[in-house]
Amino acid sequence: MKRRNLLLGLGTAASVGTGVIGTGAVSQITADREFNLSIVQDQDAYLGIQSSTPTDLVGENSPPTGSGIIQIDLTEFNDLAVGSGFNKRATTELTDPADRSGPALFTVQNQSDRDIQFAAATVGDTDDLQDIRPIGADEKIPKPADDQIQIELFDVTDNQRKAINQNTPRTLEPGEIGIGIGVRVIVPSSVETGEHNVTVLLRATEL
Amino acid sequence: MANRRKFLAGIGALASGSAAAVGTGAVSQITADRDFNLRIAQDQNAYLGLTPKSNANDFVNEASDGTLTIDFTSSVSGASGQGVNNRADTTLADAFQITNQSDRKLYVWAGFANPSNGNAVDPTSGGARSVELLADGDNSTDKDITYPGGEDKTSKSATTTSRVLGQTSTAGAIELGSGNSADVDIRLLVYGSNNPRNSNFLTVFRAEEDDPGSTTISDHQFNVNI
Repeated sequence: MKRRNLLLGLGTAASVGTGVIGTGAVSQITADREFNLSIVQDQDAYLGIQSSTPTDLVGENSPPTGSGIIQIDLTEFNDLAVGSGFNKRATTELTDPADRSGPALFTVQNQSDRDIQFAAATVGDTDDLQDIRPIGADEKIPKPADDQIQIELFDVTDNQRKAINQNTPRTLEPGEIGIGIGVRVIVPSSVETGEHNVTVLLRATEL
Repeated sequence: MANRRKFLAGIGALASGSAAAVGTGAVSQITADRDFNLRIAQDQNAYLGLTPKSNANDFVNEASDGTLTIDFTSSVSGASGQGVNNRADTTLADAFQITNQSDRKLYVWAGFANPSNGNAVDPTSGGARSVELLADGDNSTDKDITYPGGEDKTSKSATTTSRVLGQTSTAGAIELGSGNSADVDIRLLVYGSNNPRNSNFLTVFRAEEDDPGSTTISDHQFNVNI
């Protein structure tokens, strides 16, 4: 469903481009050109996202059968935990996997050839829109409302645990080792108990 | 759902926008969305477990949103009194239980905050002395887990102060191993006073691992009439 919408959007853009041509002698040219691109799993992508090892919290559907898209499953905190979930009216910060296999839940690394700025934002359901910088002014995503769960990412080596978001993006240099990411989960009073799925948008922009 | 569709349409537009900009180099912008699955629990079942003790149910309860709430006001069922005495120390023994329901050892302590701005407050200020939470923990000696200890609760905020990160002492915090619990007494120390009054504030519990690690900060309604 999601995928279909996205492709629909791209299709529209492509046909607009063709329409512009009609000013000269030739009224219409249709040509197809091949674009070669390779889609890789998250750990090998230009924006590398990887977990130190697959754990209860962070796993990856391993190729070729899996999608290679990292999954962040916080429902199984650990088999040893008696509690069944996060507290309401609470902010919980998680810094490392339940089995302590690494210093962070996952890492983010610049695997392109130039400096990028990295930012994350929780995707909400409201009509209020938020920037996710660095981007153009017309590109915005819905903000989470006050009564929705919010997820923030932070660098685990940052003592202040400042959120890596549109206001404070993080610069990643090519070749720099991946930064360890911790997750802050902010749960307001009105959220229902039970399972939730929250989408977080990750964006890397060339400087 | 409508919003979700709008959002995806936005991504589509964005993708075509950046395609135009790409000409200059390799990759100019990457946008990816990733899903986080998580479960939310009421306080009794959450990783930081907070459960009213049955003997204290007149004063300590689970609010409709599933969080622990403390109420020393006229709403107490079956009581004709309207609040706690002035110039008196009132103790509610075994008021609630804190249980570490995570998989790690946690240090737990509490502060008090103004509900409107989150700043640290002394809950019974204006003639009163203090509110203490006495936890019995893994040994039998009661320990005041409110921080800072003593009368002045206003100098440190549970939201911003870590008792563990960068601290040499965890005095004032109770240590709870995974699965362990502590019973907590509530002690209201009210002395020499002005007029009877009502205070509404938040008890802010903070649970931290001992090395820079996972942390939970949760807030709970606390109402008291004096």
